[in-house]
Amino acid sequence: MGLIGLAVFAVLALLAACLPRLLTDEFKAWVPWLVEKMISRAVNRAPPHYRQRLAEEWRSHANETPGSLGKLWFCSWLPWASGTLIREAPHAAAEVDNLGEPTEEEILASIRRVIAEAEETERLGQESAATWMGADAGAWPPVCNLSTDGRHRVLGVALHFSTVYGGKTFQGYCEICRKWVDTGDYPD
Amino acid sequence: MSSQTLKVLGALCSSPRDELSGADIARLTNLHSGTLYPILLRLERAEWLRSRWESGDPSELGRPRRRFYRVTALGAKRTREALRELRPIFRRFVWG
Repeated sequence: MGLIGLAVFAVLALLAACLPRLLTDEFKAWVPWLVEKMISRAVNRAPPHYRQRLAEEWRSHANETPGSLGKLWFCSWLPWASGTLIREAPHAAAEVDNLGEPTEEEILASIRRVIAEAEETERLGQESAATWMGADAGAWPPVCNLSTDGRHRVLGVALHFSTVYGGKTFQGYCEICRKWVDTGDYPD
Repeated sequence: MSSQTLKVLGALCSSPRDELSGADIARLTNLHSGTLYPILLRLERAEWLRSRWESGDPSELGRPRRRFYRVTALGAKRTREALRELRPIFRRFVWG
């Protein structure tokens, strides 16, 4: 009886000695997985346009946070952050439910929209160039070296000091050569 | 402007470094992530803060890139204005 009691005691003592270490090791091994899971869940609840950025930023923050419990504490507040962000972006919240692959119709619609915008930009550019440059577009204002037809694509004007003539003239910002060019118009 | 927002702006304005990461700001302000990140993104939308990714590739760095925040001229101006408005209130509070 005494021998059995001694054996049980020895086993229990061995378990008591090993168990905390075993549990600690197990906990440490699970923490990275848990952190990743918590970040992913929080990121998936954030507004779609922020997800990619927040995923990397939060992983980096967790990486910089010392200690396993510190990392878990950091991650435990992330759903709160996602919730606040989604509340602040109600239009984004509507997109959350519809995040699967875009349908063929949606892709076609977005392509059509991009083409229409590009055509409108091109049309406005041609109109404005024709209006401002008139017949002597070759002589003045300076030719746009980067555009195929040598014309600046200017969509708006502002009053600036002329780089060529004295005083202020209306200048437009060329989208192609990325500089302000005189339109030849002077303020009244 | 909330006290947490002021804390964030204060940490960024008073830091000897130009830019701070989210983790640095959290450490300086003691704000938890649930409060800090919405504030940072709100301030960035208002153009009081600007942010950029740490240069380098995550695979080369061996860790995710940090995002650095810094106060814009507008943000610094607005922070100074807010502090100027708050100063008389604090003085009244302290002196009764």
